[in-house]
Amino acid sequence: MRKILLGLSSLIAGVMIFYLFQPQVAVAEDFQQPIAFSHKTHASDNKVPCEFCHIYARRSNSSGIPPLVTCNQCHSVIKGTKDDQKKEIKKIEEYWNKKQPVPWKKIHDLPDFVHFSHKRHVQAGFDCTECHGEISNLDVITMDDMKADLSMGWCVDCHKKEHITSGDKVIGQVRETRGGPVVQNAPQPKQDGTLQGSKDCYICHK
Amino acid sequence: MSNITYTSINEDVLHSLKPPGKTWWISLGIILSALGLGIFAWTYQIMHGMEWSGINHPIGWGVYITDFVFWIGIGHAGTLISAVLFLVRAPFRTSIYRASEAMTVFAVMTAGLFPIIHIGRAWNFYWLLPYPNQRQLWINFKSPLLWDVFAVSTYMSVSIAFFILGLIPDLASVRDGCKSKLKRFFYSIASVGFRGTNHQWLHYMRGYLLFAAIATPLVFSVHSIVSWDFAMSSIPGWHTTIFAPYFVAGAIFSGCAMVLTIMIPLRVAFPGFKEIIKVRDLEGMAEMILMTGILVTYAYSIEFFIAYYSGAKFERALFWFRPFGELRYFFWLMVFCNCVSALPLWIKKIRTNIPALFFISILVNVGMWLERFNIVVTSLAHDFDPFAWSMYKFEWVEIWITVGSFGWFFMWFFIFVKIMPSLAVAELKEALHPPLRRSQ
Amino acid sequence: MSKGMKRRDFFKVAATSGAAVAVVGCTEDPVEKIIPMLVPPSDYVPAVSIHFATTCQECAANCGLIIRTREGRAIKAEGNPEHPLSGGGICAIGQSSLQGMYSPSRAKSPATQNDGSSSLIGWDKGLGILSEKLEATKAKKGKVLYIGPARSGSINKLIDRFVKGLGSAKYLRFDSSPTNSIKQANQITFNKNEIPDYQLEKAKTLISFGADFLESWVYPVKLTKSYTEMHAFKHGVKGKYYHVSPHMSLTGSNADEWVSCPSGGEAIIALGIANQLLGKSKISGSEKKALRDYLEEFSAEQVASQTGVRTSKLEELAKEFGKNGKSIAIAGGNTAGADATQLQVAVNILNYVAGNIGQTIVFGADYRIGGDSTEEIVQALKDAGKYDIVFIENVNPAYALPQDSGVVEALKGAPFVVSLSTERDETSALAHLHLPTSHYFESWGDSTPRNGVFGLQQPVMAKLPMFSTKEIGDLILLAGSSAGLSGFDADNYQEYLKEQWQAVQKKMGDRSAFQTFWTDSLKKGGQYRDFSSDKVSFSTKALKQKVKSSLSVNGMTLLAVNTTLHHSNGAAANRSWLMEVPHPITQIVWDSWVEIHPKTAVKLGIKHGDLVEVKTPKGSLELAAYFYYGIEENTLVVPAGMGRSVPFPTYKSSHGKSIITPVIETKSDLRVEGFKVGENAAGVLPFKTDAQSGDLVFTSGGVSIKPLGKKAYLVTMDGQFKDDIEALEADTLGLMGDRSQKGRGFVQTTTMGNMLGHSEEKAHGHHLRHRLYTMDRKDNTDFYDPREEDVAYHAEWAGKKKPKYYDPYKWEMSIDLDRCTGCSACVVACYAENNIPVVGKDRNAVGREMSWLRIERYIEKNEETGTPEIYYTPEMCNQCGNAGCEPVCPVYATYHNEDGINAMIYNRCVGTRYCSNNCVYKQRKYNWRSYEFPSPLHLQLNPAMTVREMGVMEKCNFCYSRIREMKDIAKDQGRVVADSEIKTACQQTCNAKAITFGNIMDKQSQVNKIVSTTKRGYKQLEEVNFKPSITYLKKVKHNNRKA
Repeated sequence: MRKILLGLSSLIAGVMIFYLFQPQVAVAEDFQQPIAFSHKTHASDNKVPCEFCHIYARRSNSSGIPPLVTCNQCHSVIKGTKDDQKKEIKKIEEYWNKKQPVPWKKIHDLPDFVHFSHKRHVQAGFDCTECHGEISNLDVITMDDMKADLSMGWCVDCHKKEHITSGDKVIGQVRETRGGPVVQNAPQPKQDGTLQGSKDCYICHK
Repeated sequence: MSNITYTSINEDVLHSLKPPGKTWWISLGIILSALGLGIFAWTYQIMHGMEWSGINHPIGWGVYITDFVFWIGIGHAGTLISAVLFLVRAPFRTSIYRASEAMTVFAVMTAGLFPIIHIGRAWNFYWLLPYPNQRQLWINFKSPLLWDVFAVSTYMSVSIAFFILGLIPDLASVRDGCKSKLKRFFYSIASVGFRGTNHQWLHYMRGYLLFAAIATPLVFSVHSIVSWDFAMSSIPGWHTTIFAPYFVAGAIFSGCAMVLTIMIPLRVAFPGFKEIIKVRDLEGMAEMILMTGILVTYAYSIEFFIAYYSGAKFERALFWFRPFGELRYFFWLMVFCNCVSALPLWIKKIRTNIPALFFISILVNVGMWLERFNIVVTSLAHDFDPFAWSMYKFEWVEIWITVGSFGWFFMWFFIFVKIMPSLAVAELKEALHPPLRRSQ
Repeated sequence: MSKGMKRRDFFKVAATSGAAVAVVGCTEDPVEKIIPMLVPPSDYVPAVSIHFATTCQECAANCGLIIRTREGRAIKAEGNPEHPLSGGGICAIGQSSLQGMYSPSRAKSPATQNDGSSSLIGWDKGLGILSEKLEATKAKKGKVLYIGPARSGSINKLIDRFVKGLGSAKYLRFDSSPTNSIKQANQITFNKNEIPDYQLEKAKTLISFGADFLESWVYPVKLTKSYTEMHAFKHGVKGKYYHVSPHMSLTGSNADEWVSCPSGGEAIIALGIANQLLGKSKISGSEKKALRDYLEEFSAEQVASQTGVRTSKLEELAKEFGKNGKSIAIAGGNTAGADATQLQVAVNILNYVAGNIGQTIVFGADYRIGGDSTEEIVQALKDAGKYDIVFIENVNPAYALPQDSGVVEALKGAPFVVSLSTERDETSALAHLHLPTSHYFESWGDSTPRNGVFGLQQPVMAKLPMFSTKEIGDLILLAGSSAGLSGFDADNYQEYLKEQWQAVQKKMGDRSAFQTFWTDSLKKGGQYRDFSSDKVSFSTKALKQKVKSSLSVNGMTLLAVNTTLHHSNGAAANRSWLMEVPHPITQIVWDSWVEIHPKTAVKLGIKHGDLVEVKTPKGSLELAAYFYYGIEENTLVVPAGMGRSVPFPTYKSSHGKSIITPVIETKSDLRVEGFKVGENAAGVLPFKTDAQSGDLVFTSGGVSIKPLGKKAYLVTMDGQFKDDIEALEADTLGLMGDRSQKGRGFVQTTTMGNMLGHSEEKAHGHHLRHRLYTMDRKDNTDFYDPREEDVAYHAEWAGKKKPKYYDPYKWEMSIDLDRCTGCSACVVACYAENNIPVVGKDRNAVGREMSWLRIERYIEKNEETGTPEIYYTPEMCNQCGNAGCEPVCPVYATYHNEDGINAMIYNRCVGTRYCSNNCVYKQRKYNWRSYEFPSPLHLQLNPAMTVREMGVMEKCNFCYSRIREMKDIAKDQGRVVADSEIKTACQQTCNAKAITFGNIMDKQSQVNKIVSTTKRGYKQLEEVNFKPSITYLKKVKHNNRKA
């Protein structure tokens, strides 16, 4: 009898807890990248624009990871100053000589049934940082540094918002380059319209 | 009112709470192994997908939905007897209503499982409930399936509450009767300190009446809503207005049969009950069966008439297909069990013959299961597009799960019999003259 | 989580019981890798599809292809719109070419084999062995035999030079389809050894003497196009088509009338018609006299007595055919039989008499279809022992030729056989050395299917890593140079090809720099121009043909026929798509069968679906009997090209065999080991060739058939019910079941009379519709508000912002049933586009098919002639405006989206299957399990489509991924999608142009024009009032016989 009571209650309890859990879109146990690449050094210290490497963000659903040749073009010349830099940059050379691509680990990861489009959002005038946060200030990126958990609720919230636009481009902070440093006291473009994301599930799930 | 006294009732009824004997354990063992089969089969289905049931394209619903409707139907008799018959003060109710109420509760508990079993991604069943979620998704209140969710859960909660309320005075008498401290402790909790003062009795009776009033409409609403799962869709054989009353009648029909199927063995198991559950009471059930059986038969014939009268070729083809198509055996077996097998009950001799009653009640149960099967499967097997017609083939998983559902149901009932008075002691006593102090 | 229980499964179980909920809460996905390219091509963009133009090598017609690639993988084959032969469309087998590329039965790497045991060796070793042999042969001026596939293009020249260089040599091209008889006959009749251009579109009447030109005859894709031009109803005109043959094939079933005749009787009938026409033909003088002398023995009576074709029918045919030059007769194919050339000559005479030569039959095209005479090839192979080296490249004579041709034995006896086949097939299993060549999607090449068409074949992707192969061109170059021959110094075949194309450039009279010409050709898939027609004159040599005017019949006749899904060369027989797609007429999947006339069968005590033994003089087959009225009573028909023994994956499970006892499958029940599907019909035919042309004969006389007393495991995809109220009137001889549509109006027909307004057409559909579905509304039609109004009302009521519906898009489709030929190419295209899993025979048997698009086939009995009339209709999700599936879904997994699509959100679906139940078109398919895509077939999956998991519903969504793609591009350019920019996969591949798709809101769109102007439009099951967005156009018939 007690067993049954126990079983019942555990079932009910289980179900309750089950609601409370938010689905976690992406969790990774290990963020150790094959090369200790630092966005800070590149994007922030040396002012390399995001789209210098992630060239597809504006043109495709996928923003793309820079191919090894992109790394090599610079780093065949730039060998780094500090030892640890030298060490890491050497790895690029090794991969290049082995003619092997770098097996980067994915941190901003969506489930396979989500067909997110980078170009839509970039073309609408959203800045990289809106979703990815100030990546350029980070040496190492881990799950915890993600600005958003990329959960569906988060998407929907933003799609519900009325974004103010000027010339069909969403108005945000003025930046030197997309995702680059903010231009202080720059004149804000004046609003001439609003933009709201679609709420058709088929936009992403197909 | 031969030799039944307050004490004898107490003894007879509470006798059933004595520690279980061998037969009880053996039968429980059988029951649990049946349940085991079911659990195994379901686990297996969850791992491998619906692949392993006989459900196919286009027959999207099969044995599971049949079982669901079947068990919900079983439940109805209990509420009917305890609530409706209480309100109309039917005499033969008293002796049997407790057990049949227990039956209701367990039947609904069983039925509640099947919607979860039959969905393809059972691990997401909670999506059917309206709960705030971060995905900001909501449910579709237009869908009859959702009405089901609410109807069944309401029904379940009300009938459980009603059941427990009815138990209170009896649990109290059990409490007073039992020796061991532990038992006493539990029963005193269960009987929420019922002392049988006039004051308590007054409130108790009011409460009981109130619940009876609440439960009564549910008897009709729940199965109507279940029937709308079918009636609301556009498939010939489903899309019909007759379904709600037709299903309710059917539900009571099968429910009363199930009451007999349970009561008669109970009578045998506990000889003391023989005097309390009188043949007259069983006869009352038999009459209910007879009446509802005729209602059901009427519904069948009307279905066919409407199909003919509508002039719609799809309807006509379907209702030709049921009796004469590949699935005709199920149909004719159903007709025999539901329309024919109850007719002998016109005869008093048979109506009062226990074995006969038991046999007929079994037939009716089978028949009602087949009725649901016919409605669900034949309609889907033979709908609009002749090119997409198909045939149903039973598979082991669904059979085992069905067996398991009986295991689940009887497990609860067996436990119930042993820990709670399976007859309403207090109300039985109401029907007696209070004992005179002098006579002792 | 041990005991072989997979982790995920555990969670599924646990989640429901709630017991292990703590674990479930934090399920951890493994880290996904994201691997960029080393050096991406300049035009490479991830997640954007790139298209390459190339050439199809599935048959010698060499249609142009456009291959869609994503991230460097070929994922979809489509027809090249610029190519004159394909003109955008492509056949079912062409669609399946991707599965040829990603075929698990491809040879992994070079291998040496002796008597069965094969051992893999690297290329160095393999080439080493080869070059030794070559030098040896060269040294002693030995003999070499090279058998390659029938093809046109530069490679032939190279191979020729190669084998010639090695000494006395033969280079033969093998193609089992009988086409030489056509060339031969034209040689005899018109002194022109070529396959001419058949311009059906110019004809008013078409008579086909057994030529299955919609399926496999010469260049089916082009012929389908020109046939629909001629036969589809347009501006009140519609050509007539008679099919004269013992068998009503898919092609025959499209005819206005099928004239049954005994096998071999076609020639007699042809000459009979010619005889009738001779009187009023323009021919005069001695020629006319000669013809009269020749034809007089083929009087109507004579023909009637021989073939059983009534004289009245013959006169009708003659009358219809006498259209002075505006008619055409064709013949041939597998049904042609032993005297193929005679038949062709007879038809030539008929065409000549009717004055069609130069009108509808134009010479000068010189189609390079078909190989060398099979007779010659078999002879060569027979004395393979005499050759030092026998090369066999990508042909499979050991399978395709009848057993008693003795080819297999001969090859076993040969000193050294080298196989250059891509696939490890029956023939390469006999080779001593197997050097696998790359698939044509991985290699360079070109083709000249006819004069003026120069197709270019470029690699559409890198060679598949799991197979180490070399392009055939490169291989020949290597071999040549290693044998020290001259003219093999090009450093790879691409360079060689460029040299060759310098000549092409001159031919085309192109003055630009070669590089520009080259890139332009690559873009267009080649260079195309018209051919100059030649005049031909009739030579009385033709009249020397002794067409025997009497038929000797012994036993029954067996025909091994090709269909749109089966080809006698067997190339199609190990592609799961083509196995899974039901054969259009019989609807049989994963099996071969024998078609038999019910009357004959019942006489022999055979019931429909029985296992029967078909005995030819040279062997016997055990097949399932399929009852079919579309066949001459003394004839049996078996599909060719099945029964391959090469391994390929299918779902083979014990499912469906068990009722009570469980069948526990712990691992995936996918089996990849080789097993046979169906029987090889050509294998048991007595080896015979046409005396004059050396064409292989696909018929056999003296055949007997007898029941084996048990039922066959025959799986057909049509819901056949013998016990049905309408079936009672239908003819259900021998339990064949009722295949009619039972008056439900899925396929509706009208007549020329109606279309031209001569006669009144009675309304089809529910006679009570008005009473049942109308009520007091301003437009007294319907008690549902239009969706926009409805939604607007509720939005307003809820104080929400009003959503836009059907603005600017509402996607609709129209399907012209007068054009659809039922070829099922669209179905294959749908499988390819939408990642639809293949489920195999056993699961098809228990209603587990996953196809999103099915060709429904209904057979009605013609009251007048007693012959069957077959109707096809493509059925897919109707994207209803007032759908049944949407309201019943408890979780909004399916809903109506702004573009009017019934969106299906897989990852929201819980799988109640209510939507499927409530769909009156039964178009929703449910994932009964998580289906595997066995390697390397999984590389073909379309990344734009989600791969569905077990327990979710799926269905056609008008190729929404394509719609999204184009909408995105349009949005980038700040415009709306233009008409016909988006083509659904089925529409794109349809050669008959039966499907039109577009935005109904755009008044200029094609679909809007059709839907708003047609007099033939109707919606299926209109009375249910689901407001489907597919408009079907009625089939137009010449006479008003009851359908």
